[in-house]
Amino acid sequence: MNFESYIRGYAKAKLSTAHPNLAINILTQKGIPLRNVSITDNTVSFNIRKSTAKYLLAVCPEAEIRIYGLTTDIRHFLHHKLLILCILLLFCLWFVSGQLVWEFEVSGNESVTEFEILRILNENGLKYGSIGILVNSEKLSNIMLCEIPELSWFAVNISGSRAYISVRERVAKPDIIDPYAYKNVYAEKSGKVLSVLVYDGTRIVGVGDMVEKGDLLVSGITESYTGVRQEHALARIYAETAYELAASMPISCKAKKYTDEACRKYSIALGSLRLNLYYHSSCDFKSYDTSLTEKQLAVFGRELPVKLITTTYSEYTSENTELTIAECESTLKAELSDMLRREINGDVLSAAFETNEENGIITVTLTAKCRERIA
Amino acid sequence: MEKYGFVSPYCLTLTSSGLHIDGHCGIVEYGSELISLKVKSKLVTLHGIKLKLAAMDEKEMLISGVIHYIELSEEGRHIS
Repeated sequence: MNFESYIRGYAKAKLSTAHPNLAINILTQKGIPLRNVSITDNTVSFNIRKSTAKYLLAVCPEAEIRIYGLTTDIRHFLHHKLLILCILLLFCLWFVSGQLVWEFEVSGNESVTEFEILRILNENGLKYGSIGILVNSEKLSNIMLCEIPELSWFAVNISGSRAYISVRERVAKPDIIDPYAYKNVYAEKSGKVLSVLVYDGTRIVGVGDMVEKGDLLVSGITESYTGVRQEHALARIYAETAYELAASMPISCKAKKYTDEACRKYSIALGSLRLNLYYHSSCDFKSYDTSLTEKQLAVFGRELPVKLITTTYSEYTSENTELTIAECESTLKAELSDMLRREINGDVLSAAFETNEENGIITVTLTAKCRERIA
Repeated sequence: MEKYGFVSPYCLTLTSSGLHIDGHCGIVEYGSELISLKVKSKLVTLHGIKLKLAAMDEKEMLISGVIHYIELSEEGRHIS
């Protein structure tokens, strides 16, 4: 049966006769073309065109005939009204869900959290399941800029079921310094002064001086030929600071070792509803890590409000592991370098590490000299 | 397409779908390894495996399957 036969329609016929060869010859002589003829025992099976089925019945009333093809299939299909209704309903749901907003993508925010933006949007009408074409981007923009003063620009673009929210944050105004207010400059850290640049005020310390945290560096009291006056002292002072940081760790420690055992549990998120396809949320494993993956379901590129959530529980065992001194050392060195970088407000001039082992504990000490701004 | 004119003016044509026979006078014997048919006064016997009558009408016939050889005889006399 080829595609053309399927479109045009065809009939499968079965005929029981003592002389199958003769039956074939007679039928073809009567003008009935046969296809896919097969003979088993005394039964002849063949295909004929749908149009010749009635003629075959007239010629041979005892033949068993079944009609196949597109029109027959459509007729059968139309008999199943419930099925058609379900398909239509699904199609409608698919179409309608494509017009609603099911996904949000926020970009451009740094200090303002995504949660905050979405919460205010939710309060002002753009929420999960909102109708995309009814979203008024301009109106929302005005509301959002008033509600979140940190934002300088706001836009919503709806594409399919996804709302792309783009924001720009306002650049903070610089602190306005009152030039007439009296103020001194004090040292933020202890160290040896490397450079002094005084904009306003009287310099108290010079290059090479040792200063302690809290020492007066530049005074706001200035003497001039008109007398003593008070002003807002301003200066840029760099100093060489010293740091000594230490970190320790035991050589033997417990480490995670993942077994190949994993347990997966599935749930379906329908809008804001979550349906778990399991009874118990925990696993039989003694120790395990849990990870979640979400997959948005889509039909023909249209996202549905349905997410498949897979929760994977990966079993692990805690094992005592002996680390080498070199491993401990490299871990601690990296940690100490990180700590130092967070601590200083300048550059590292020199750094030296010292490692000690005592009672199975490795201690690494970092001694560093840095150049940083202290005022 | 290859034509064998040994039953001229009636002919057997080898096509991609199978063996096409024009001007047959009916089937004499039918089986998956042997199909025998009359072409005017001659008897054409096809030997092979998985032989099947793919299509047939009053004049033409298409036989599919693997044909090993064709035997031609006339009134009981073997020709080729």
